[in-house]
Amino acid sequence: MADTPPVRHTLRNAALALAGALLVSITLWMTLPPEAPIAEPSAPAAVDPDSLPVVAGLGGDFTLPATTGGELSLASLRGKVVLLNFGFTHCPDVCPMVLTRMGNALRELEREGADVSRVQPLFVTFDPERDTLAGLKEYVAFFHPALIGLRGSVEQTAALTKQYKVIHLKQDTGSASGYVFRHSDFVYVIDTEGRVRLLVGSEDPEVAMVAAVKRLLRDADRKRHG
Amino acid sequence: MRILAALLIMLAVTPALAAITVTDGWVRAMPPGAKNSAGYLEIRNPGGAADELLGARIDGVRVTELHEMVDAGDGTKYMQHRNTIAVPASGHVLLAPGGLHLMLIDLQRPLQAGEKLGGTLHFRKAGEVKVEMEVRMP
Repeated sequence: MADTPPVRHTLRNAALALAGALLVSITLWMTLPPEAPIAEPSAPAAVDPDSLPVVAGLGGDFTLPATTGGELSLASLRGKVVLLNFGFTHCPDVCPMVLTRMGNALRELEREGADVSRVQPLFVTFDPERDTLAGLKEYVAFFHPALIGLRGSVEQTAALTKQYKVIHLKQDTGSASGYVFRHSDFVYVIDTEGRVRLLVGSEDPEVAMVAAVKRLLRDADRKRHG
Repeated sequence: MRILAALLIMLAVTPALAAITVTDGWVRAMPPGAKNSAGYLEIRNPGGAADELLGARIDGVRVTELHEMVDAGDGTKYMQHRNTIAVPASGHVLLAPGGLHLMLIDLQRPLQAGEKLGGTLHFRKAGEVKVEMEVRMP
């Protein structure tokens, strides 16, 4: 073996090196976490307690048929902080995500001891052609028992979405699910006097919604007690 | 020589290790009356060749399509119906809320959180890959 031709040494060394590298890479591949971790929610943006100005140019009263029976007007909810969102029940991804966030915000407020009887979450469908009040009732209850669904006529829906500047463009993508919408997905945080004070986007942290509600409830209390 | 043989055996089994794997499959639990839901999962492709997801079938769902939620950057989002989803070589693709997802159309029965749905993903090169999707409250 002492006079093993150098070429065999080289071959053996190469084979060893290759096998070693392969072993290392297999081990690494099997033990390494995915290289791109799922994005962590971004750090909560501090909601400045002095910076919830009335949002100009949108909002205002409305009255629509509700899942609680009869009609519901925003004016009848004076004294409550309202979380208002628009969507459609055929929506598989964004709408359930936003409603889940609204439900989570309410549960968080409850955990923190806020008076949630003074917070009213609302979901308005902008797809009255396919959404029924009965279907909507079952749909909203799934996300939070306090959620009320609203469904107007096509004309009422058009007027209200214009009033709140909700974008909802019907699109046919060739999907078997029928038409979908290109749409905005803000949660409108409305104070106890019916004014829009904050628009929470689906990228904003949930805690922004919680903080705004707490702040508006506190403001209302202060006003009441002088 | 024995080492060389071992190496050859290792090389022979490597293609099996390089197969596409699908993990963390889940389906969004939806209200009883909901017609549609969305499915999410992660596809890993350790192999040296790119592949493409062409379609999927999920038990209890009439049609499953490949969709992407796109943020238009103007405050709106929209859904893009896609024919394929590229799976890069030595890479992975994440189907997650707010982005790529399986669009589950016409749920044939209500989905109970905790139940598991079987299914098959169809890739251009890897062919059919079985998946198991857990119904979850997000």
